[in-house]
Amino acid sequence: MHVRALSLLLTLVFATLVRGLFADEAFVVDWHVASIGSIDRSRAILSPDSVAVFSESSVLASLDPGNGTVRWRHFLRESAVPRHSHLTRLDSSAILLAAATPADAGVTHIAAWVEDTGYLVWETYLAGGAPVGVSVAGDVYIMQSGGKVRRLSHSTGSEVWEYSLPEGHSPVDVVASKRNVLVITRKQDKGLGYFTLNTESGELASDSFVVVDKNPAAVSFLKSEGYVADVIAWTVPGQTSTITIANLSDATPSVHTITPKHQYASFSLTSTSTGIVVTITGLDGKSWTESYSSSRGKLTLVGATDPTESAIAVGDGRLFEVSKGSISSFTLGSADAKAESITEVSFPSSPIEFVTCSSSACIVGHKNGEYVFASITGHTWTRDESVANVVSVFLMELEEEGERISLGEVLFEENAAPLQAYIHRVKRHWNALASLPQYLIGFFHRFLSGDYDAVPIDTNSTVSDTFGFRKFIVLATTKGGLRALDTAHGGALAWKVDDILPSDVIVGIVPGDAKDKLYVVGAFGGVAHVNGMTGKIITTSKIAEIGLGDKVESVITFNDDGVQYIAAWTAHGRLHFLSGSTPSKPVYFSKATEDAIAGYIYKEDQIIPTWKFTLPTSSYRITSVASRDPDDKTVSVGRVLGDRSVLYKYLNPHILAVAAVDDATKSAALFLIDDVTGRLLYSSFHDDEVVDTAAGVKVVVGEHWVVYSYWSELATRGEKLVVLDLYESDIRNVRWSEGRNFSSFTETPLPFVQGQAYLFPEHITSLAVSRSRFGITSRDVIATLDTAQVAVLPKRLLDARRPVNRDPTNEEKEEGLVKYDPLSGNDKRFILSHVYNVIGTEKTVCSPANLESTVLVFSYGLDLFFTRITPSQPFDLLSKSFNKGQLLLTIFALLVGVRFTGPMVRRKQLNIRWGTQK
Amino acid sequence: MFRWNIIVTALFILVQTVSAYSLRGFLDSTVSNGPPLTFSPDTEIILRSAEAKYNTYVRADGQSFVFLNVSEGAYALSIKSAEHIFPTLRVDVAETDVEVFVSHPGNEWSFKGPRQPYPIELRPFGPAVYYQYREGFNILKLFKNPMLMISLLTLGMVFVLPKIMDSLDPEQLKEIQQEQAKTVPSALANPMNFDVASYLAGKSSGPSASGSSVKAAGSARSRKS
Repeated sequence: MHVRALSLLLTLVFATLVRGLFADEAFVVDWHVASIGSIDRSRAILSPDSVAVFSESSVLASLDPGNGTVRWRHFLRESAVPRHSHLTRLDSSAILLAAATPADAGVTHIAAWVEDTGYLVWETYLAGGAPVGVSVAGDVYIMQSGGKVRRLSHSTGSEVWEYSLPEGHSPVDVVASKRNVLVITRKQDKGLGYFTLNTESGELASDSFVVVDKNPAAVSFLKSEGYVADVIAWTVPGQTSTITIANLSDATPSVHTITPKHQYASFSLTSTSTGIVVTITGLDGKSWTESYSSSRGKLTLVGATDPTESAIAVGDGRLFEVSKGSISSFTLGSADAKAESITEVSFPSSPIEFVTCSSSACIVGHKNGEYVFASITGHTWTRDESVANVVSVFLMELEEEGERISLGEVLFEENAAPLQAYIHRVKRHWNALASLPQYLIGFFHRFLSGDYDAVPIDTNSTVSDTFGFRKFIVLATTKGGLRALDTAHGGALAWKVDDILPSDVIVGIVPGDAKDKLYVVGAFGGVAHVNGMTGKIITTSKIAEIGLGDKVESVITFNDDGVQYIAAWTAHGRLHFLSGSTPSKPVYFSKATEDAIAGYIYKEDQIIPTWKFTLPTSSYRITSVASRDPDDKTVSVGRVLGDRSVLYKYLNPHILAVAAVDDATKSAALFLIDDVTGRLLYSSFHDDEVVDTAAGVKVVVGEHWVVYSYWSELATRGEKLVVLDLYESDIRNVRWSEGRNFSSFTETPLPFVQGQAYLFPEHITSLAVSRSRFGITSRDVIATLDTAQVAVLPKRLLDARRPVNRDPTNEEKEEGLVKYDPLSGNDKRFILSHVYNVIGTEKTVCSPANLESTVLVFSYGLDLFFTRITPSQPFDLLSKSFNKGQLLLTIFALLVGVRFTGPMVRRKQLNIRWGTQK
Repeated sequence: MFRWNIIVTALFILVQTVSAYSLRGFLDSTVSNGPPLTFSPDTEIILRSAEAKYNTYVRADGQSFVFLNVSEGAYALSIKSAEHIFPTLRVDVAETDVEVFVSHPGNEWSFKGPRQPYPIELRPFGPAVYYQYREGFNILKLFKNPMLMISLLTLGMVFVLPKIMDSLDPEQLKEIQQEQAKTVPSALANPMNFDVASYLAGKSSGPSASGSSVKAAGSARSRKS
């Protein structure tokens, strides 16, 4: 009866289906971090008034050199492969990106972009392999791995001419100048050399292949940076004391061999007006530069700097030296070792990966994913791109706000002698008085504004706000660090740790035994125990018994009678418990591989395989696996229908939803398996629909339901969202579990599954389900879309019981059902991320706030996006539109009314008593 | 004239033949009133079929786009834009011809909507509205509420009517009362005779004759004055 009443109440109260974001809440309750990803030195163009980058995450971006914010960016995941790409400047206003396409590595996509705005100037596709070299001299000259050299028009990208390399030559690079085009190739029997092409016609200017190095092993080809002279350099493997350099800007290119002061590990070239500068890093890690002047075909050493521990780089005519807290710039070639300018910079302590400079500024890339920009005028900013590569996420609850009274104190006051206890309490209250003024200020703030958000929280504190909207999002990154972001302050950094597991790769973070502790587990067995409030490392250890060549694949947590056990699962199929103790009772778990799921039991230090589920045919592959969040709570065991009968929910906590696709037949399938016994509970196949198998099937398990989605072309093209509601029985009021706890071992009938499909207009890239604190609030399905948005779909809308082709009856209306409409999510108010361009999100995690109505939502991937949602309206929160003035006005009006009618009534009563009136 | 037609048609066919594998189009920025729309550089144009996907961005003029090397097939052309809502078009690329149709979501793919011109023109339906707006307190709106208007009117009558009745000629009053007694027997049903004071005093004027009640109210008032 209780259940029914509650469900009915909820159904009636939360009858609205579409609830958009309020305009005054946008940018207040949500925040977005626009990332670009790791920067590679070779794909970053730094000039005095712009920074252009093509990152490892396939983001082409232009940054504002003033503050480092993104001016524009394009996520070119589908058109450019970073590893086979060249980013160069086309002219003063446009940049050029040439890259192999991901779909076909034999095709190069080359595009010119307006640097200020990000509009496309022109683009073209070229067959003939990945780009090997790109050179801009007015027009664009590109060499491809297939041995083609092309000249493309600077303004339209159309081909002017094409030249194919002769047989036996492998492409190395192309160097264009106003006079001619040098095509540098390597021939197996002759060595490294070049052809000269006529700029206008693209024909060989002379038939001869000029050999510059007979050694066919000459590698590590380097082209000079800077635009004054065209210089190339190469080395021979194993030969670390000489560098061969060819100056191609002379009429007859000259070849020189230079011998740096010390043996080198790496070097780079910069051309200047008088010659070239070689920046060398020695075998001992020290760096220095050597300047050479080039005149009449000769290269003579004119100066060198002393080897230094600091990182150095050469910009346009300047030498920059990065030391601990500053960047100093020096005039190149001057014997005077006095710095021209020194910019104070606070660098992260992480080791420097690269330094790249223009004439006036440098970008210093650090191993931890932070990129520091510093100009000679003293202007600096830092971008932390480590958050673009997140491995694992945990939303950390903060301490409760308010009087912090320890358990010890409470016990003392309860058990000590009355006088002592009284004195203790008075003392405690006296001490608490210190925070009274602050409390009063906060109280009036709240009273006047009616807004708890208006009460400021100290950004440095680790205290939660009243409603639990403030949490720390702890991110583990591929760069080996942890970042904690403050949800209440726009994702501001709360703390960070770099290189938490030295020489290890983080696999996951899991909450530890205490509320504020976290375990960070690495692939090679490293384990760090971290305080999640402060980021302090408590202990680090290593799983000792991890085998040779074995790797930790994932972290599993078991809950056995309220005790949590954390274990690392390895590639060799072993479990290593982190907290030392092992569960006393046998525990069950399952692991998915590409084409199968296997169930295991852990009992008495042994792992015994119990069941294995293989896909129907070998061409199927698993795209996603989902199970219900173990912390998700169920309030009502049944679903009350309009006629007051109940359909009992199939509340099996061990449901494992396995989604698979078949690349051969373009079909999709979903299986529901009992995680403990391996029993197949339900399966559905989508065979004749031409499924987009590359996008895969996304699946999520809620309370007693499963929602999955896939894109298919038939019968109508679009993303199909399928909902499966699982009930104990299709007969109303019938349940076989009879209130007992669910056990997979009891003989139970298969669930009654009610399904319905909906059509969603956009491609869905991932699904998640909201989870409130007590499970009373209805649930929302959160989907990240490939339109760089995050959408919310109420589960109440994705209901399998919506009446099809007819209006709902009164009983169905009472259930809150509306007529079935296959199109879902067409309303833009379903877009949680509103105007944000949230690119590359791959996962969403939900965490409850202290308020039952509110769920915190965090999506990550490349960008980070955070918001909070109220799936059943903010029923426990005073609305922002609540008008205190109106309330007071109404009370005032009532008072006035009473003032007027009061005397009238009194007179009347008096008259009645006197009998002057009937 | 006839000849011109032929030439234009020939040219058009020629253009179409040439551009069969390179689709051109533009985003229509014209609005009937006000400044023309702008399309952000983030606006991505996507051409998708079961076999292939092409995407491109808006050109430097801020509205045109070109797809290169499009192979034959039936494509859905959609626009990824955070600011505007665009229709989805169906583009059939054949060896010699490009046909553009309006596409309606949820329909079968074989169902083609009205034919559209080529080069492709895409006019946004309107701006994307992500927000819901709160209704603030508005005193004018409060008074526009019919319930409030009725109650205010009734309240006014409660005070005003007895005075009107008092000022009436006794004979006229009697006439009205008789008429009322005929049509509406109950005094309660007649809001004009409702006595707020006796109602609040816990003594309803009840089924008594409407006349006496009015008289009483009238006498109370006259005594006061």
